[in-house]
Amino acid sequence: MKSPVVYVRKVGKMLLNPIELLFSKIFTDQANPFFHLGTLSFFFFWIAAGTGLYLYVFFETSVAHAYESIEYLVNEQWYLGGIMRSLHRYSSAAMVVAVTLHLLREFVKGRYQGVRIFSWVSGVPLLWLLFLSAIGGYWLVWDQLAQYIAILSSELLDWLPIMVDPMARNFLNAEAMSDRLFSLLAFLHIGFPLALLLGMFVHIQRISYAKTNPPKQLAIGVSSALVLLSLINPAMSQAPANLDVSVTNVGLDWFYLNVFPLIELWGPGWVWGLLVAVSVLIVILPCLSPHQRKPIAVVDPPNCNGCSWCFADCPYSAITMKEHDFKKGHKQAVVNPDLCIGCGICAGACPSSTPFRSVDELITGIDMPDLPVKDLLKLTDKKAKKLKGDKPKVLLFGCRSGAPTESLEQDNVAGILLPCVGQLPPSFVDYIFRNKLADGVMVTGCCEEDCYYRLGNTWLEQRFAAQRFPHLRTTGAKRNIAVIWAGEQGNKQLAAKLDDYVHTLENEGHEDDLRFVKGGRDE
Amino acid sequence: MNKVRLIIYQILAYTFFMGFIAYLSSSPEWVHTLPDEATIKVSIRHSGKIVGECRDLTVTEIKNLSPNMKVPQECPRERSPVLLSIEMDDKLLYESNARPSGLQKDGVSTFYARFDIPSGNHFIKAVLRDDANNPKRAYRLEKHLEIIPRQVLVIDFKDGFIIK
Ligand code: HEM
Ligand code: SF4
Ligand code: SF4
Repeated sequence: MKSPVVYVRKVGKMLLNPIELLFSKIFTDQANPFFHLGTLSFFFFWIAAGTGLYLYVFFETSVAHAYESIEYLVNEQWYLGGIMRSLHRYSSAAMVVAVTLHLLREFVKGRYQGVRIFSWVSGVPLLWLLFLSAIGGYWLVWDQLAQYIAILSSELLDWLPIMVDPMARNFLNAEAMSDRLFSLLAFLHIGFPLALLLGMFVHIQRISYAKTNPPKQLAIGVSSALVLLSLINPAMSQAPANLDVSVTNVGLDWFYLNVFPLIELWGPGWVWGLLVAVSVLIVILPCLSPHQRKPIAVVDPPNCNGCSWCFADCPYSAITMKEHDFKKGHKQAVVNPDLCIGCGICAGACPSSTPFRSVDELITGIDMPDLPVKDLLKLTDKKAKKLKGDKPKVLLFGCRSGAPTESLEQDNVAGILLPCVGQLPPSFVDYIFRNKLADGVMVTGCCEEDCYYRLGNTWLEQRFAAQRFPHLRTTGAKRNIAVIWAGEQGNKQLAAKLDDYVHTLENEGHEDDLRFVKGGRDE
Repeated sequence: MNKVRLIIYQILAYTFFMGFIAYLSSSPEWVHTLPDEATIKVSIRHSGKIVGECRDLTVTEIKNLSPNMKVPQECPRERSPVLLSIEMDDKLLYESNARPSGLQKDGVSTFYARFDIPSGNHFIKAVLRDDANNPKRAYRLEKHLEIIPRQVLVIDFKDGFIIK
């Protein structure tokens, strides 16, 4: 029986995929917000942090004057302080939306197991810190909403058997409320976000070349939207707090303050239960899901010359370089099995993967046991031999996370599926053209900015464009290679691009002035 | 898609994003208490009576104590739990038996509870017993209250009930 998690993920994918496809159409793959939820979370954090600093300059840390000091910004300084205040609130709301979608998306796309457990589990404290930061912020305004959450959060905390004196006693009535407590809260509202920031950097520690900035187009788009929103609909305080008068209606921030109505409906005990249960569920989710660990990369010292290309390309920093076992003055790659995700990007980087070497058996410096480079070569030869007909012959390399290539096979098109196209050494393309195994080579994989193994498609493209080692060598390969990042949903688009490609090869021949064809699924 | 249409769709997407953020960050409103209701907060910290009697130490026992610790009596530290019950208009509103805090059970007993009640005239009766061995020992409060809408009424205790 399959684990229920698999079904949940399936349903999630069915819901998410069409939305992502739509956003790719509107924003292109490069700036699809769904591919940048982590970086957007960072971006919203920076907006909240920057505007928060400004607010802090004007904020009065006292029960009596906190409210006024914020009202001053909103009314007297609406053109700057008011906007800062609105941006502070709205960017925080945007952040929790981005983080929630980020979490759900990593889950639905199955990116939370293996090495990724580190990021996954370290994400959970981030959720707590994020909510604590936001709740603390609402508290400082000291309006009716603050009064409401002050009373209920103290009742929530008092449920835990930690303090002898109920914290709620501090909020009995106006007389009970002290400035000291208020200063503590203001201090926490700096402390929690700082801890959050620290946690965010820990969160991406196991990831090499982690991106923390969204693409410019998105950054400009979301920040303009937030500024505009701040102008049209400035964030306002509610009536000032007065502990001697009970709170009736409150305009609630449902993003962050959703637990408070639950405390009223269920009582604090059940709410704690829910919070702990959800956190624990997220933490153990990787163990509840079936996971086939992929075989990890293996280094073959005689074939490693210590060039460090694999080291530079590994998406999870699983490779380190040490003194070579026996080649004096050379380095040698070492794989840390705990960090290796089994993507094969390193095998695609290794210069020893070239089929042009005069050896009996192609053994490369770093290789994948499930599809060694020598088997990939045999497969390429075998598939190429089967190509027939008058139309230009094309070898189509794809990856298991991208658009399926089998369905596109024809007499003149053969598909070869890799775990990640980043595993394809560029020398293979040279080899195909040099030996006239095919008239064209098309490579496809995950969408731009959304490689299942993070960097496979980016590195491959840079290798083909001679921006990263190893490069393409032969003119035939440089001119005829087509790269289409179609993604798992881009089957139809890929088929159309393949047709186009075959057409161009047919009409222009493959010798002279063809180009490096590149495309996505954005049309 | 052509460029203009794309830009229009992007603007639509951003508008949806703004609307979503703006709406849910302050609405819909949540009703905490109704406008004609008032709040009663029971918040009491009181130490129960010490359980048991002090015992005179024998001469030899006193001799065995270190010189700076010599006392004539040994007294138990454990305190009685405190029982609090509050009735409003002859209906039980709150009842709780608070154990003393601390590992030695020698600390204070605390009560906290919050109720929404309709405003208007009420008759309140409260009893606090702080000696489980002596049920007759009790502090009582009986009072007519006129409670206005949204009033926050605190029931506290210090040598007797206090209503604030
Ligand atoms: C403050 C909140 C968060 C921020 C700012 C954030 C940001 C990021 C960033 C920038 C990355 C790196 C993306 C890349 O370059 O490939 C990342 C990866 C990841 N995040 Fe988060 N994240 C947050 C919360 C969470 C939460 C709550 C979870 C889930 C519990 C989570 C799960 C993951 C996972 C599993 C990865 C690894 C993806 C991979 O290796 O392919 N994150 N996050
Ligand atoms: S298989 Fe992937 S994760 Fe493992 S060492 Fe190679 S590049 Fe790194
Ligand atoms: S890319 Fe190949 S040769 Fe270079 S360090 Fe890695 S294993 Fe060795």
